[in-house]
Amino acid sequence: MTSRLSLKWITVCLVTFAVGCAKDEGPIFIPKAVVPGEAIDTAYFSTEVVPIFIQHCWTCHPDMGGLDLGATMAFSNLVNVTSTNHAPAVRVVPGDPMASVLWHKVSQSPTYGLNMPPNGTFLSNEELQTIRDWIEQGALNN
Amino acid sequence: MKRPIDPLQRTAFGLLLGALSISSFAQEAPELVTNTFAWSQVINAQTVEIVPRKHSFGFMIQHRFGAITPDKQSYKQFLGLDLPSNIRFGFQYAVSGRMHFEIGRSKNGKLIDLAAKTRILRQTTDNKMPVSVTGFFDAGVMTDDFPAVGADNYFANGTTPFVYAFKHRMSYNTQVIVARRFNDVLSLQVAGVAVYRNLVPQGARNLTIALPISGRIKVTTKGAILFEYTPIVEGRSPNSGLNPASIAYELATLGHVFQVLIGTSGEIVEQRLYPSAPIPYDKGQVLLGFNIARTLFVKPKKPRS
Repeated sequence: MTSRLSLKWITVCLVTFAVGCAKDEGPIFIPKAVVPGEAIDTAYFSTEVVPIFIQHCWTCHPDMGGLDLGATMAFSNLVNVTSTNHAPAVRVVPGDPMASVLWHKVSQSPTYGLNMPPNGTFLSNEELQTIRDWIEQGALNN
Repeated sequence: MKRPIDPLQRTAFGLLLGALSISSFAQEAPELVTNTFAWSQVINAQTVEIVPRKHSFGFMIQHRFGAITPDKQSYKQFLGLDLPSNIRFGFQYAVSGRMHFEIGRSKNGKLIDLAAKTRILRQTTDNKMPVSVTGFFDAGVMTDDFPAVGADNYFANGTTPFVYAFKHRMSYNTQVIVARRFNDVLSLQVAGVAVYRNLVPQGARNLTIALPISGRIKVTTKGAILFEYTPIVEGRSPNSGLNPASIAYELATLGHVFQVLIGTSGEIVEQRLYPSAPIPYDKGQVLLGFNIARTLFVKPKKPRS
């Protein structure tokens, strides 16, 4: 009786698995090709990048924290500042995302250990693109 | 004339009957090894144990704090207790003495998981069956909001515009667990785990296969040291070459289990634990956590007279 019951439920589990199964990968961000002469979409630090920090980072990097990513201090704590844990690497190197610790941390790269945010959530592709654009465009305090 | 029975004779006769009945019982049904582990999970890995009695309940709280880094930040963050944490509540119900169902909800991903666990084989004291074997199946539903998707996002083929669907919330975890209790002190276990996620980020694999190896060393009547190490043999995170590992101290009584653990991942449910990168413990980072479990035994109904 018991083994019949187990068999029934195992069958239900297998059917659930078979019916609900998919094999998808994504989303993958493929930027449109740059058209010569077309204006570049400028990434603004105060109105586009800081809100990302506030939404995803501020809980653990608040004002008065070790690495303050609040609106007032974020720029001066990031741009051309040597990383505390990964010196001599620099947190944000203007114009070079791949040399910036920040970019590796948020883009889930293995280069600098624990990725951010550390709670299993990720920045969306648009948010990542905004941060990358801002760094590539010179990491301005605009 | 009826002769009165001597009390000594009566005792001897009783003992003989008892011994005979035990011996004949042993021949019919070999004695099963119990308490290979104190409850249904070692630390993160499933054990061969289920909720032990029909119609009884199990309740658990699993908590993982943030990472402890080998620098002064750890003191500021109070050994990771100030950092974002993960927590799971689980509720189990035994439909029979061999099977239970479980529903759980964890913070990361706002994941609700539904599981079934059933005993397949039981270790016996006469060693005719040297191991216990248990099967486990879990289906998880991510209930968090999907992030916004822009126009330039595609599936892996690079041509189909990416759109989230309900099926992308689903993930599965199937296990066969083999364990042996060697003596009153040592229990060892190995499991084969297949995790399948319907949707994975770019560069990751849908199927992850892990082989958690775990054990318990009892150090006092109620206390035990637990350990587990999980080689990821397929579909590991592209961001890390490390395998999850944990140690814990456990205090267990008949109905309660309390564990304090040092772990390497804030994830709890296997669908998120094994495919994700552990914190870099090779650089001295670990995290603290605890598990609390309570079994609520329900007395069997008395037959109506």
